[in-house]
Amino acid sequence: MLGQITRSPKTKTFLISTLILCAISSLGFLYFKTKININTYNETTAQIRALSQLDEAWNVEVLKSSANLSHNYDNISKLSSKSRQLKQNILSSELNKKSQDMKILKNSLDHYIKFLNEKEVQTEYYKSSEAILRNSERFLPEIIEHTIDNIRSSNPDIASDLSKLKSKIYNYILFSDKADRMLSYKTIARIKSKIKFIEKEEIRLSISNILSHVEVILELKPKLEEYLNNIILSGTHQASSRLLDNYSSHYGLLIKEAANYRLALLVYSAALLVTLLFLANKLRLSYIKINHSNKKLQSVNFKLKDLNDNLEHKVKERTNTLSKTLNQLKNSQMQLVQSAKMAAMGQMVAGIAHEINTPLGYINGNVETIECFFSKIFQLISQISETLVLIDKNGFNTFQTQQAIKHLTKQIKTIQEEEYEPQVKELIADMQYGLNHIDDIVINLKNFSRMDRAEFSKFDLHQGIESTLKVAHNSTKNTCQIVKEYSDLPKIECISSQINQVLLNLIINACDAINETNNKIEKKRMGLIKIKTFCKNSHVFIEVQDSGCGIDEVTLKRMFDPFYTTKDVGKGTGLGLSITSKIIKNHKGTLRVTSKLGIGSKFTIGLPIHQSNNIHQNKSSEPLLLVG
Amino acid sequence: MKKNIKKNNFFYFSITLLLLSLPIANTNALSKHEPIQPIPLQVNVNKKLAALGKMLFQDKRLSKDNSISCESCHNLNKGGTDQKQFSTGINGTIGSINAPTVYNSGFNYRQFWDGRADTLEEQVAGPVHNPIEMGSNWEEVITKLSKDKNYIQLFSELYHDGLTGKNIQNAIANFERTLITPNSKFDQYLRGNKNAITLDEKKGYDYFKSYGCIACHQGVNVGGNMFQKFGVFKKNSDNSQEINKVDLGRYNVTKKESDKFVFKVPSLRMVSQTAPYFHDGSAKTLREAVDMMFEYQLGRQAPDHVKDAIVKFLISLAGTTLYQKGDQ
Repeated sequence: MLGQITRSPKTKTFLISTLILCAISSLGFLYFKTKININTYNETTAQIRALSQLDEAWNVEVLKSSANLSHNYDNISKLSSKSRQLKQNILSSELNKKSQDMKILKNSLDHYIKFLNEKEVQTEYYKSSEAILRNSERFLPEIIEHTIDNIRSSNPDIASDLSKLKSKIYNYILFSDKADRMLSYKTIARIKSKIKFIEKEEIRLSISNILSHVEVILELKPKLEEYLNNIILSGTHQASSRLLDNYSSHYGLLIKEAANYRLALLVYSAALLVTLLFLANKLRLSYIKINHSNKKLQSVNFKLKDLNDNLEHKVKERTNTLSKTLNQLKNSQMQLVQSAKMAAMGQMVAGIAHEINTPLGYINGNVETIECFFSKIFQLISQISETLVLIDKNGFNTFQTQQAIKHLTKQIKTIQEEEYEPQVKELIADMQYGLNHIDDIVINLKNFSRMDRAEFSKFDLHQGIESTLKVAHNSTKNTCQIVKEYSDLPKIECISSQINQVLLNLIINACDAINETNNKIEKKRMGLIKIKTFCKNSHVFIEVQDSGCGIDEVTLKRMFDPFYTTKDVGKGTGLGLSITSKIIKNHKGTLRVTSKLGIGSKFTIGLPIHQSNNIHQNKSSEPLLLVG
Repeated sequence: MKKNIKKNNFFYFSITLLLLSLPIANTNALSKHEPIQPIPLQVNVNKKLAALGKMLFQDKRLSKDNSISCESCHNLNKGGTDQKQFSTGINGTIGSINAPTVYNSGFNYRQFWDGRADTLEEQVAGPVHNPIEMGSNWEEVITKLSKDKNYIQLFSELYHDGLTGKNIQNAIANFERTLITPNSKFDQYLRGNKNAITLDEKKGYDYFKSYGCIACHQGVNVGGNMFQKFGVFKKNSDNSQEINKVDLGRYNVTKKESDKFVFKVPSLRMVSQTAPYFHDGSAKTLREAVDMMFEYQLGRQAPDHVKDAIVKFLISLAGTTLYQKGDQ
């Protein structure tokens, strides 16, 4: 609707609301214009009609009064009071307000009011004049007859004038003839000129009374007729009809106008309705459109949600799989760690079994030999006891006894000849040596593992090295010579079994490295393992140096990775150094490796003498691994 | 005016007088064709309105210095006048016109000597604003009266717009409409009780009619329904008396030459109690007034016994009121 002009939504809203307001206000305007307050019109016209009727009654009352049919002016006065009231009502009505801008209406209203006011004034004059005139008309005959009678003899001239005046004035009263009035005035003048000649004051007074009453009649009679005429023909009736006509035609115009407005209203509301319908349809269409796109959007949303769900599902699945794998990995790692342990143990056990088997072999042989000796000795002992019984029974000098002693002596001689005693002593000494050897192995094995103590405790490193060397003896004895270079060390806080494992790993690795070199040159040559300890800056350091093959660069980078191994399949687990680094990390220690191919490697372990209490805080700190 | 009165308060007040046993329903009533008509025995006015009007009528706060009430000059115990030639306003100012009676003023078709007020309501405002009478105005009066909780309550009870000048006028006018003097001896006579008046009074009435007094003094109020020139047969100016503004009468209202010396014909109902007489209080006694009327208005002479009888008749016109001596 607004074309291509883009407007801010605020202006748009303002424009639309203004349009709506305009539409509604013009509707209201048209509706207002169709409304005509016919009630006020009816009220006002009713008042005008009532006043008009009152006016008629007023005329009737005045006519009645003039015809001597009424006895007082109460009715006329009441009517004029009422008319004043009604007049006031009309003047304060809508008509007067309206007539301010309607010239015709104003003219007719002003006219009417003017006539009414004039009529009231005339009525007042009429009442006042009539009252006086009536008195005079009534009093005059009485006094005039009386006076004529009184002066007929004394002043016949004046008496005849008075009679003349009497007849003229009577005529005038009856017929209102202007000629009579003129003649009366003339007679009055004549009498007035003669009055001073009358001697009697009483008569003079009477005559002047008569004259003043006659004058009153002559003056008021035509006036009264004029007032009556003015009242009856006041024009109020015509003025009121004209006012009513104008008023009704004004209202007619208004009604016509209202009819026009009604038509306009009809057309306008129809147009508005059509516009509304159009807008409603448009709204409906756009609603449908919106609905459609909404549905689309919804479906897309749905799909998206589906996808999302799927994705989530997949992610979950993957996560599950991953976590399963991780678990499996962890499990297998654990298994591997375990198997590594088992492998190490296996190697160790094999070595240890061999170690124990040798002394056991000769202990066994010795025991058999000793058993053989003992059976001869027990035989000898039983013959001795038999001989002793014979001695006891037969006495010493019997044959039998002598025979028996001879036999015994012979046998003892045989044993002595065979040198049993030094042999048995030697055998037992051998066995004791073997048993000591076994005991030694078992003690060291126990020291090495110390499975019962997986916690930090004070530990003598040298003792640990010794035990480890004992355990690894089987590997080292035919391969290398061990050179120890111990300095004074304090006991350190560590988990001894773990440190022993580390040492064992390093020593075994060193042996393997030496064997590797031997395998390469196909010549058996004793290698050298140098173990050095020293103390520096509250740390204890252990160096394990071998004269092995050395470690290449690739291996140096990866050798601490779990499962990385250079050994033949089935021989190594690839976990040894990874476990070693882990253990040292646990102990907040350091591990440094230097190696030269063909010359050998040196592993240096640094361990703190005291573990700080808050192990957890430093848990994440990486162990110092320097590879060079 | 009635629109101002709360509708639920329309309890009409009827003054019913049962002072004497009357042949009210006498079918032989003379009144129908008589120029004088009896005062109705009751008047319909809202009782509460009339009571409020009476309070206001007697309230001196309607004058500037709180020295004068309506009643000061229209004493209900003195025939509704102060019985003085001229009334005394605030600060002791002497007025220039004789106070007419407030009794039966509701029957007058206009108010004041010159008829300048169409209604009693209009009349009330006159003396209040006249600087030589009460010398006040509605604003001042309302300020004073609004301090009176009683008034505030009464006005808010009776008028939707409460205490206003217009409503004070209305209340006082309504009270004044109750100030009628029905059941005079003469009214009883008019209603058919032939023995209600004496022979002299009856003769007086006959003279009153035959000598022409009745021409102007007719109707219920024996006057009060027309204007008349004072001095039809003898002009005021004929006397050596100087002419004051008030003597010009209706001329002061209309400024028409013909209205000079024209006055509203006063009611003669309470005439026996309202001496001195005429707008200037020039007649000290009723008889004097009758003499002057004969001379100025009727232009004729009459023997003393006629005038005496007329005076007697005039006395019989006075009826009874609810506000006799001792009544508050």
